[in-house]
Amino acid sequence: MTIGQIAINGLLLGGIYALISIGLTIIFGVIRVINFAHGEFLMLSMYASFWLFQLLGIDPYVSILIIIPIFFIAGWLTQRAFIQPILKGPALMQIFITVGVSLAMMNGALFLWKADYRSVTPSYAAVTFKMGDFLIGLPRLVAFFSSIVIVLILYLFLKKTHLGRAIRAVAQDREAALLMGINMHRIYLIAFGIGTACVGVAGPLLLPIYPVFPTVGTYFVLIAFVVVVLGGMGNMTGAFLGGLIIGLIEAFSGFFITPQLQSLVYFVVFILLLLLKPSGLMGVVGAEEIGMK
Amino acid sequence: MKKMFLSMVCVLLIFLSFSSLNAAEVIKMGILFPFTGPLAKQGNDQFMGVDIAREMLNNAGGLWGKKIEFVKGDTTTNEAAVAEAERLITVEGVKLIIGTYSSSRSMAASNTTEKHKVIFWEVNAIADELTQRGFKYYFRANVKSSDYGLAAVPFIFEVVAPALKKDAKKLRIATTYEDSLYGTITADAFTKLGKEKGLNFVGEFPFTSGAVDLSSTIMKLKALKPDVVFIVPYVKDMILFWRQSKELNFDVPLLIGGGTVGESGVVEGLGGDIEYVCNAYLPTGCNPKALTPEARKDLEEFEKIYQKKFGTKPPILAITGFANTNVLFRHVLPKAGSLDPEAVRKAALAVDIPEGGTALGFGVKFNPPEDKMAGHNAKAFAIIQQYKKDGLFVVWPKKYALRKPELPMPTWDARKKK
Repeated sequence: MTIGQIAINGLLLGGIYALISIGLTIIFGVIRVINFAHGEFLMLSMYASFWLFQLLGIDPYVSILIIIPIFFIAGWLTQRAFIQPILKGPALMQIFITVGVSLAMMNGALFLWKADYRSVTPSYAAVTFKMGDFLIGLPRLVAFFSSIVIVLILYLFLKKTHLGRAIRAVAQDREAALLMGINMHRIYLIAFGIGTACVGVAGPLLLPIYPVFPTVGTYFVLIAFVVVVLGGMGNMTGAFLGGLIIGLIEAFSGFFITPQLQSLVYFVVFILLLLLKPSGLMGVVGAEEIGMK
Repeated sequence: MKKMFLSMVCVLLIFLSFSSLNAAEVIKMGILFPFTGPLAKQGNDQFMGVDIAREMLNNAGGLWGKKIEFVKGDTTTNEAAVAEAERLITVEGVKLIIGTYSSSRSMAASNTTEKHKVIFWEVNAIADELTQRGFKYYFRANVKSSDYGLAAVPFIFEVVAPALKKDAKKLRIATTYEDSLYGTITADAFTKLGKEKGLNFVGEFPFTSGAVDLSSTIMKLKALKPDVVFIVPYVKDMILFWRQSKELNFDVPLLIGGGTVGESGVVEGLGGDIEYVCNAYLPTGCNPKALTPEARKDLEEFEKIYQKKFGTKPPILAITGFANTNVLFRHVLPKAGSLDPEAVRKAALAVDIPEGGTALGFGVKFNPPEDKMAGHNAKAFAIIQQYKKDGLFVVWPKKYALRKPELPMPTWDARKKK
């Protein structure tokens, strides 16, 4: 049945959006920085997975294990080198610096690896499951379930561990957390590292589906911002649900209206939601003023 | 002390700037291509062909005893194209610009060049509109997008309908295209000509290039059960479209592209799945017997130099860039005698090269400024290619073909069994 297939397409697409947005919402929620380089971290993780496959024969799904620690460190360093020094400055400067990092990464990738589209075709890339009348591609299914797994892992981490509680404290109220003796800068470093590691996981999961080239991040990052704000900044479950909602809206509006207006429809939904509930679906009231305070 | 030091530095700088005035040994030409941004791959690929044309010309002695030097401008976006054209003309002082792969960039930049009466030599962009503006200093040596439709329609009548054992007018035809200048104009030209000849169009599905999901478009096409889908994407869209078609099991007897489906990157992204897909394109790579000996020699020399420099055979965009720049270097500029735009204009309008006379296989004759298609090469035409196991080959018309067309395309199930 077509409607069922459209819904499945939408959910699987939403899973991909969620995967990319989880990292962004952590950075947003904890450090209150709008990371415009997020899409480029995705691009770099796709390239990392590509080169590991190409040069060492490591399967993209296996390369996740290598990429997580590398990207955690990369996020840590980015926070330390670019954001920490200007945290006291106006929020606009923090935005500009992430834009600068984004441009440097894009053009660095262009310089190093040229603009060619790089793809991998591991054996499972074309596997499609047939469940009755419905067709589900394996790589998309894996991406979908991975986003659930990541949300669960992070949820348990934030709720059950001491470090997780410290991170939530900083996200809730910076000053109070400082008064409690929490080392704010260390928490920021860890949060940026976690956020970047999350998008680092997204890269290898996307590589069997999309080719990688220096500007690939720009196609995803705008949607990621919409999902993050829709779901509530700093809320991971919100990011997951927001991703699914956007995916479903895209799939249905694309079929019943026209593919060209897909973005229009979800942006309209986005605007309506912001007018009615600016903190997002599951956000904490007050979070919408990020960057202003 | 400080004042003396500063004035010494100033004097030194003045002397240094004088040395750069000694440019009498070179001829400067402007270059506008997307070297960065979303079209970077295509821009760089094509520029490599243009640059080898320059190399070949310099090795043969250059023009009027001087060597050619390129001054590059980067058309990352349409806005950048305008700014870079302005910079090349007003700051660098070029009188002639070669560019620019993309119809949108060409449209943007050439408004500036026409204003300054600078020659714009377009080697690739195919949108019909580019030569419908009555411009006097804009020349496009390449085919126009409607030519792809002009080739695809008779191909459908002469080859596709018999192969599918159906009356051509009963075939269900759908189009899907990226919604910028290139995609829209190419698809519209095909649709218009097709309807004139009586073809049955069941749907039009534009999409935005760079979309991360084309499943809605594919689902809609699937519901229509078309016999022929005419697709005009950019390369990354083609990769996504065909991959998702495989995932969603969308079978169609013929998928035919409007140009870019033949560009490099498609095979790398799709592998064996691209076999049997057809594409309307310039006669690049046509049967060498259809070329004049001079054109064949130039093409062979170009391929040798490219192979030596980059270690691979040249991609299609590089060949196009080379061949159309070569028309300028070999046939127009020597007659013009200088880079004065009026002289170059006159020489370009006087050119008349017969069919087979360029490395791409078509002849050259530019329409005069009073013509509806001013500045367009009236002798350019398109052919149909098909992807085979071992590459992309011209399959129609017979005169230019190296292989036979094989239709209908196998279904995804049949492909899996191979």
